[in-house]
Amino acid sequence: MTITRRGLLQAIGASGALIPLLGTGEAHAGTSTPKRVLFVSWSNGYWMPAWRLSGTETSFTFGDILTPLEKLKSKVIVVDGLGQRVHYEANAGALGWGKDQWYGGHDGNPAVLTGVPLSKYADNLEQSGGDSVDQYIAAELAKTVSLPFQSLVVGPWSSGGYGGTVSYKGKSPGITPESDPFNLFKKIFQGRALPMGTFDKARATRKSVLDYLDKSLGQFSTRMGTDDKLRIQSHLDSIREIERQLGDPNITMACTAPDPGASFDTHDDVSNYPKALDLFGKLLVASFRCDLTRVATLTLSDAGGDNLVFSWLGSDFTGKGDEYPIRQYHDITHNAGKSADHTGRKIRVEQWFYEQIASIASQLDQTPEGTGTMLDNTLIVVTNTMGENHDSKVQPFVLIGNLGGYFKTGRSLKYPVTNGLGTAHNGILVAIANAMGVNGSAFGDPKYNQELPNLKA
Amino acid sequence: MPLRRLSQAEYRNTIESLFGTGVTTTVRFPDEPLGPSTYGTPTQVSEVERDRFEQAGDEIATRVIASLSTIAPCDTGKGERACAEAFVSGFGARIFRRPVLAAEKDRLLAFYDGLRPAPISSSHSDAMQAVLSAMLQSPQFLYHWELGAQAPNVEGGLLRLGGYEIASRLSYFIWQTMPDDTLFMAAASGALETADGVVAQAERLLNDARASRMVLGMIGQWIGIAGLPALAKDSSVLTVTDPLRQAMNAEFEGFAKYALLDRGSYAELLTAPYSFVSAPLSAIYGTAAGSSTTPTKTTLSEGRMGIFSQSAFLALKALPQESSPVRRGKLVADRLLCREIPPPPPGFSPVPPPLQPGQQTREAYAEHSTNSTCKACHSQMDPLGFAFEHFDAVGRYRATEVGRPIDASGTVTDLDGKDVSFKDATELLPAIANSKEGQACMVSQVTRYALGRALGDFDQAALEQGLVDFQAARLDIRKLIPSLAKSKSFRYRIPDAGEIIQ
Repeated sequence: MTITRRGLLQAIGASGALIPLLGTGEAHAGTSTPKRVLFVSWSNGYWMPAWRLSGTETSFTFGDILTPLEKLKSKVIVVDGLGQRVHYEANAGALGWGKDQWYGGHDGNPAVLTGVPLSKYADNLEQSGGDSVDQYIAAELAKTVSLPFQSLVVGPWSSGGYGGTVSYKGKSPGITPESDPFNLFKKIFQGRALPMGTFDKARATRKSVLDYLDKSLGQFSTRMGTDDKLRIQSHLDSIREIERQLGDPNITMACTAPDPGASFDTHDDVSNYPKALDLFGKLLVASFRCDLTRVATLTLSDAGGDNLVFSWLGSDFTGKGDEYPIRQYHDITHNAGKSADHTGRKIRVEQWFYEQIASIASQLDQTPEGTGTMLDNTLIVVTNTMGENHDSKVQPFVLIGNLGGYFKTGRSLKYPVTNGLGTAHNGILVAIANAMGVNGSAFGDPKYNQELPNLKA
Repeated sequence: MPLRRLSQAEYRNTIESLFGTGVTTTVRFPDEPLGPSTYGTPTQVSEVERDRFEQAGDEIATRVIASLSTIAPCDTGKGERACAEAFVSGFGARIFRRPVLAAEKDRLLAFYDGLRPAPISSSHSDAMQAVLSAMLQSPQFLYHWELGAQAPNVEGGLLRLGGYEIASRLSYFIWQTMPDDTLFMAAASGALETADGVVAQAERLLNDARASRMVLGMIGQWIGIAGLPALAKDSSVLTVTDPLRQAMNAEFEGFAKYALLDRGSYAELLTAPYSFVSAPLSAIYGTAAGSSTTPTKTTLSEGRMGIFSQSAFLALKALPQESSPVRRGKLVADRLLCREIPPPPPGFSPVPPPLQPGQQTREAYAEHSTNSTCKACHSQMDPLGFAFEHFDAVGRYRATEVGRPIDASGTVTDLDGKDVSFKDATELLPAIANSKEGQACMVSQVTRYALGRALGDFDQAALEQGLVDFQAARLDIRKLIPSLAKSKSFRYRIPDAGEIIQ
């Protein structure tokens, strides 16, 4: 069956540019324009003086890091002054942390999209305290809309576990992002190009295997304890998700799959990072355009970014680091502030990330939809697991796009920071859920389940 | 204990044990978080892991299907269905690492039967390939299941593990792979139901070359040997070449295996005057490295003793240009003394300030002993790291730095109740090796590695008996391992909350 699947992929790859896709969710969704949300997050924070804006709420100038968003200025809200209050107010000691003090920095991952502190810290095997907002929205949407994918969680050069993800289903170590864009391409587009009514042996065999595994997992876990049952349930969910996705397509809609081009190393050769990120962007835009999913999360680095060497930014970004053998992302971050050169490198790297995000936003903005563009119905939520000072007391957010006019865009907003700790960031997660048509106040810590004021139009 | 799945290394070794040396997969699994103090293996299978296990299962099944008749011979005269049945309950028991239950066999055969007729119309070979792939994606293969297939043995609120569970615990602990035929037979015969039977098998496994996976797996995690391929230093210090990296790795492997398995000596791991050197190490050891291309047992001078005076540890736990007393000291505190150092506070800068002209490395860390915020933790690490100050960023010996003699002296606080001063590592390491605290820590490290989980009250008896046996055997880990294997911690487990145990 492997051979058949590969053959099929080659067939798609060879003429992938113009294949009408089958089985998208458009017909399930009715006629209204779908709303989608893309979360983009990475670690290591920003050099905040270069991230911040100058000017007023409606008349402002971007700092160096955000200049790539200049063309999209009227569709952006920059949100300053939020922080991971839930994280810092939690009893750290009770959760297995050595002292009543958070490390802060790389432990921001489990709280950034969940709005609750992590539930367990042990040996870098941390567990979130609940659903992340992307998974919450996805699960809520799935109650009324049947899409091929509830959500897509991806990230070039990302890893599972500690600091490698911001997406969580319940109290868990988190969803490992798909790090290979070609695997993502296979997953979302393979098999959707078959003519209707064709019997595909490989697909039928695969469904039989999944059915067998589904039953085996069920039997396997019957006597298990509560926690282990949850672990098996997560495995089982992943099987059922594939089974669901393989469900017989019976709806046709014209939609173009992007051509992924020739394959390249997406694991070892980090100089391919820009190509991989670019391809992820195209695939996510296509999956929104084809209504294969409405929720996606893109992680741009793992906790430290130790493998990320930005060689494409010039010779100043290669060679030995100050602290690590190679000048990689973690080294660049730790040493920002040491000299103008060091700080300049940190700023340029963050600016480069925003250039890539702007590229994704522009792809959406160049696709007409309804009376506007896809970007008017798609929200890109850009954040980071840290802010400045290696912690997440003040955590930056940028919203790009809109969800059918829910937000009042083209603004720079500042929320109060008290004793160095920002306004609870939960409020923006609640707002995003509400804007997606999902009950935001049922999400996250009940203490902070109010929508952040002044975001709405 | 939490349900764990096979780690990448365990997965690859197990595939080789099943199908023969050289059979592997090209699939790249996601990186796994390593539990630095429990040696915990990963627990989760989410969508990406599921996807990779599917790809790997398909690839391996495709690869071995042609030789299935060699791996699992079958008299085809009895019919294809009979062969499928024989495979599922015969070779299947190796894949599941225990006999296949009747219900499991029925499910697998129903799966096979469903593939043969229209509309799928698989040939016998295609159907067997799918069965094999499915078994390699089964929970019985992917997880370290410890819920016996049969009714559990409840004894005094604990669950006594069955023979097959013990067999797998032993083989993954000592060999990092599935049980061999002898272990399976011991499980089937009931020999692993007794402490003596478990000890006999543990001793047998220790006498096999595969036992080196345990030693290298555990000590390798201590010193972060996985980072060696990326080791680089400032060119003003040394250009690290591939032959040098390989020689460093060969030294680490040769020494760790010899000291712990051939000599069986924890004390020698820390204090042996010899190492296993080859020519490329002359960049670090000078002429003492000799001219051999293969690692050769050689006595070193320069005050070098044990694995913490050797190239891999010294170079890995250092900065590109300088030594790192913090990294070296933290490792000694953490791994040799089991002293937990809390993580640094928010907002700290992990980068030491650059050395000023005329300043020694040690002097750059002065703030750690004067600033009270730093001091609380660094007083537990830095002095232990200063002991290695005679060794620079790559582990070369130096008598002086910036023209002044090296000060490698320090004090380790509260070692068996006393503050012990040392002039350098040659006094620190024997003090640790001779201390009850150091020896108890080694027992704890091995126990955590064996169980893959954090330890608790339940494990106190195993730790105490382990220390008694370890000391009686003059710190021979070849005697410690059977001691742990027969302990309740190894042969029993506490039922999980919500587990059905009748």
